[in-house]
Amino acid sequence: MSTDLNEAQLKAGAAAAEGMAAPVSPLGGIFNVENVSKIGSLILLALLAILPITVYLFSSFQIHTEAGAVGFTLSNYVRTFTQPKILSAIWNTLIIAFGTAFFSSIVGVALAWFHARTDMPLRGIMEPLTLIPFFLSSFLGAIAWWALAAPRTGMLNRWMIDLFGLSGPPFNIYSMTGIVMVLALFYIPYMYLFTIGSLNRMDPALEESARVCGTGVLRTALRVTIPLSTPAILSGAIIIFVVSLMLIAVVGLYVQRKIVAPRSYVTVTGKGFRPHRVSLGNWKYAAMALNLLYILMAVILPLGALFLASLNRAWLGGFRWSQLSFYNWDFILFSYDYAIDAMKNSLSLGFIGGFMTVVLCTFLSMVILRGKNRKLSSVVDYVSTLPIGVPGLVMGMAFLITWINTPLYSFPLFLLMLAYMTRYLPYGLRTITSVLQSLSPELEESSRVCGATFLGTIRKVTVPLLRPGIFAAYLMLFIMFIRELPVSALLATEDSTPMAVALYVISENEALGVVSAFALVQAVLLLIGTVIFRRLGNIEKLSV
Amino acid sequence: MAEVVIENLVKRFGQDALAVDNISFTVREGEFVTLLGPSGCGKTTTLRCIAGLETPNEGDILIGGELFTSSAKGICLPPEKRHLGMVFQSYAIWPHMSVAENVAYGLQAQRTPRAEITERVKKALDLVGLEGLGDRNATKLSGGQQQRVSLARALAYNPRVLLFDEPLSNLDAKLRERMRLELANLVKELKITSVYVTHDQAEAMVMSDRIIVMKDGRIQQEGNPHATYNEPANSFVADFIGVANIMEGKAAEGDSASGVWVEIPDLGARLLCSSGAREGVQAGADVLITVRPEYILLAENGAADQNRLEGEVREAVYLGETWDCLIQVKDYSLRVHVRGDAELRPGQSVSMAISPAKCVLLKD
Ligand SMILES: Nc1ncnc2c1ncn2[C@@H]1O[C@H](COP(=O)(O)OP(=O)(O)O)[C@@H](O)[C@H]1O
Ligand SMILES: [Mg+2]
Repeated sequence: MSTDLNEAQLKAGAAAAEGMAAPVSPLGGIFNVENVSKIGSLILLALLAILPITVYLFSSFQIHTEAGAVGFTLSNYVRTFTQPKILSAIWNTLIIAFGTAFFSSIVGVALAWFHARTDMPLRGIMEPLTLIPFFLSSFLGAIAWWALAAPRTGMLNRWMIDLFGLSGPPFNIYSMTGIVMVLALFYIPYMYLFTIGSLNRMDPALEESARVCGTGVLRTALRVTIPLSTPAILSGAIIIFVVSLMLIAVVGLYVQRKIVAPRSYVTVTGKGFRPHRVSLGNWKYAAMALNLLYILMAVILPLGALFLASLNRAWLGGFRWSQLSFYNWDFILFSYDYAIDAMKNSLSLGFIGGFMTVVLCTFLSMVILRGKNRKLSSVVDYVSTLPIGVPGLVMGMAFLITWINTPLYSFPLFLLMLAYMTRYLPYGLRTITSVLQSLSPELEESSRVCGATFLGTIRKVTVPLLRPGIFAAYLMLFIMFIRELPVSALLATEDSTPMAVALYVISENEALGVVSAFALVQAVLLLIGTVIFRRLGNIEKLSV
Repeated sequence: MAEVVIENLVKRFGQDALAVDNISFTVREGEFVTLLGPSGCGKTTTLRCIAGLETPNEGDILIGGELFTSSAKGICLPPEKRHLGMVFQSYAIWPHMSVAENVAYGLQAQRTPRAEITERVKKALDLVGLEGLGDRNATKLSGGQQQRVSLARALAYNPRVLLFDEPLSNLDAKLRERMRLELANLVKELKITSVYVTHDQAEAMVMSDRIIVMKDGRIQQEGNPHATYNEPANSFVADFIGVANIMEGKAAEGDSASGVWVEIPDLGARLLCSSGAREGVQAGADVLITVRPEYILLAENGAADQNRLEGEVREAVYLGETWDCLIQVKDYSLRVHVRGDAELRPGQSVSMAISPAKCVLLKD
């Protein structure tokens, strides 16, 4: 195994060195700061993204016996795909992923259209509320909806039974529909964000000309507006499908890049046009009602349920004033060491890990967009997008088997951070590259000509100009790191447990009140982090 | 201030895209040299090689006698060590800095003392006519003012050489014309060696000590504006700079003291050509000649040693100071600029005289 590692490392290193050596001539100094930092980030990328996945794939073709690993075999795959239990699990997963992508696309696109293009009332108030689930974790949603709609103990079920005298519980969160609903509720904001940018930038003349031709509001939306945003919608839906599918989706990624990306419709025609909104008539209240319903289901009910549950020491399916107590909060915040350590771990992962990822992403985006070697740039671009297609559990597993026998394993929190960095690299990179793309390279070149060094230019020109992008990326990474579950589930040790894993463990072992308080702490941290980063980075609008 | 020497520069992008194809030239100390050519001919690439922003595949670049780039020796000094000034086509003003901060940037990079920076920034801003605008947000300025900021920024730290990449191409026509002279005068006053890139021939004419005309990565002609206009080396240069009548012909006899007699079937006439590539022309050789429209004079009875042509006015557009007309001479429509005080109408027969010194033999 170890020889393979070294070979992979060497190859990656050599490829990086070769690529970088070309544009700058040897005596100009391969070992100047510029090259060292760029090659360093490439080697890091190779170590983070390529190595574990290669090792993982490789080991999936091996059988481990007591004598050690045995050569190349497909039997692992054969076994996997012939076990009925696994097959039905795969089938269920497929259905859930499809259902989630389908419903979150429909609602997300509709909400985005209401906000971007119509005269729906209360848009300003509803937008931030609609986006809140983006900053929370779907696991929190699951716990909350379990408290709301579990067949016997669910709050909603109890109310409905009491109110209407029903004979059985109307909701069942354990059903396929229930799972799809909770997941969809939390992916809707993603879809919203994927689409809203393209809708906002669209020239209203495109729609107006359709209206002039005699097409109605809804028809115009369906025939003109939505199709023009197809690339954004499709790539969003595919990403949601892939993410909820949790399969190695290099294939899905490929589809996204090859089929969707090239169909870039140019919808940006003029600058500074005043977006004219479509008048929905009385339907605007229906739109508002839908949006309010969404906010109710995805924000108010879950958070409210958790909040109420956290204020009762014992939960019997409903809030009781007589039992009002702050015991759960006191316990979580001041005496439950396991929970407190988890908060500390998550905060350091979020702040430090997020920072390191942002630095790496900045260098990588410069290699991708400013590198002189086109081939190298596109390879780096592709490789650094790969982790999107690797589900968290697989990533965790890959890191585990790659590093378990190395000294690195004695620093579990650090290892966890590396795995986070890898898994979320594509997201950070995407955010930063999209800003860097809009900056003319001449801004940096003129700084070099003026006598500033490579690092000086980054410090004084690139980073200040990239600031909104960098903080948006930092924010996104912070959020993702704090709520990360699958990678942590495999890699975390007792000392390095982050909040998401702790939430899971606590939810298995503690009463709902404690669980709710802890889940709310996570939610509050995420929302505070969001506010801070947006202030610092002057981020006005979020986009993906 | 220094001399720039380019030797056998070659730059490829990818395998077969040859952007600069083996060019050599020298810019003397204090000289203003323009690289002129249509877009895509490799001007920017050449300039960026000088700045150290591109690494050439072959060739050497020396500035002030120092070897800055040498692909044979594997040398390519990074841009920040070259001490040059560059004005970019997009101005490349940093939007997160004020005007003064933009201009001070190069001085700070060189760790100039603070008091001196303030003084030199002020001087540079005065020089380009932006006194008192130092505190402004640079991106809020007009195009012309941004242009000046980027010039002040390049001038502030007394660079050895100034490089300009189409600095005026984003300005409107009026402003562009005014800035041409202003910029050229300023740079010449400061006696800074300058390499200027443009696709605008009028700009090149007005500003340059010397023009280097490029096409497809190669140098077509090198010379001062007067020579470049009056004795274009080949049909590309003749056509690219100004308006030219280009005609095919056959040398009636070899080169003699008075010039070469060229038989031009389209005109049905012989023209004596005493300019351009005369040397070594053999009798019977196929040649190309060119005549500028304004050197064709309407003359009933011009001097005896001039070439004579008879033709009929086909089109005449009155521009005030001149008539821009097409005069049919047998099978050729000759473009002729006639002084505005003449009386012309289509169909009129005219006779013309062309001095042999204005008939230029081309190299291709
Ligand atoms: N970074 C680059 N990558 C690939 N081709 C390039 C690059 N820069 C310039 N070229 C090509 O080199 C040729 C010369 O370009 P350039 O020097 O910009 O021309 P000019 O400035 O004269 O318009 C063009 O054909 C252009 O397409
Ligand atoms: Mg150019």
